[in-house]
Amino acid sequence: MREKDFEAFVLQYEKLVFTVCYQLVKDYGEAQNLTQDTFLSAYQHIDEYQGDNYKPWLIRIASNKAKDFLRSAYHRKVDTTDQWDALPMETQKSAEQEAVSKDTALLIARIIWEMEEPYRKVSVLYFLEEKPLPEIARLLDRPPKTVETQLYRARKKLKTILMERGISV
Amino acid sequence: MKLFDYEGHLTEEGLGGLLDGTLTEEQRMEASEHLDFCDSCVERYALVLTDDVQITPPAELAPSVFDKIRSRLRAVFFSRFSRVAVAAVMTLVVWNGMFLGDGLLSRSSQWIEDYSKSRIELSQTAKQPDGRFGDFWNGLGQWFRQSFSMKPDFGK
Repeated sequence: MREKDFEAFVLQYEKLVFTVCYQLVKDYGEAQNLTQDTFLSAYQHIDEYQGDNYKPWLIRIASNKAKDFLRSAYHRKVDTTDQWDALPMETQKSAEQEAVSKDTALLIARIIWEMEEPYRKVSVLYFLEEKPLPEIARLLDRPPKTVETQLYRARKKLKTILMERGISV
Repeated sequence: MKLFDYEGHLTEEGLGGLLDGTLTEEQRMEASEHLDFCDSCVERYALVLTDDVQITPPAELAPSVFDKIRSRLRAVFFSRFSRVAVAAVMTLVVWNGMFLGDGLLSRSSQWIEDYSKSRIELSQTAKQPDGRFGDFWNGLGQWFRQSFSMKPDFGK
């Protein structure tokens, strides 16, 4: 696409892209930056796009830029050192401890099934069905990196719920 | 507010929250992640983003967009150019080293020796009373030979 045509393209869609960016990041300055990044990305790939409607395509690019920004901001705020890596570990237990562990495991499974999306499916597949991340990404048709971050947040939510209920793992 | 339904898609309530700005930061992050890969939700979002709900940016964006595009294109061009230039220089250095290296060294040391000898001859014909001039040049040439040449030291 020639520069003059792309200029008209930007003028046609700048409000749409800015709106998406602003609704996701809630900051005018950052929304402007992300809008520029969105059009830069669009410029680099517009000749490859074969659809006839640019609106969804631009929304997708803008969401991708906003997602990266929000994730980065989230990780700066949240403690990312997480020592709690798995559900009840396999160790030597007495019969009584075994019975308690089984009850705890059943309770955790129920909590997982009751989680809200987008965490329920990834948690069920990972914790209960023990599927590897790449397979989960394929089954859910989600990007692997998204599955990884959703699983990370699912763990934190699960940990919070278990601590609130006084369950230690 | 329930942002996603049981199947993992954005609810109507969630889309509404996105439009009216009532989602939390975490919910907005979750929504952006979902819109990054879900075509059906992107289509639904596109339908509700009508002209009357779209926000006018505070400043005209087209000029800054093109500044950014030109800046990126320049960066890509110079990055590629410098990589090609480095590769070409390395190729020349290796090429010269393989075919001319020894020849260059021996020619250089021969030149130095010839120069040293010419200075020694000059000193010998200069007829200095104490011979210091000749001694100086003789020592210098010897130093050069020993420092740079692969050839044996001819001695005094």
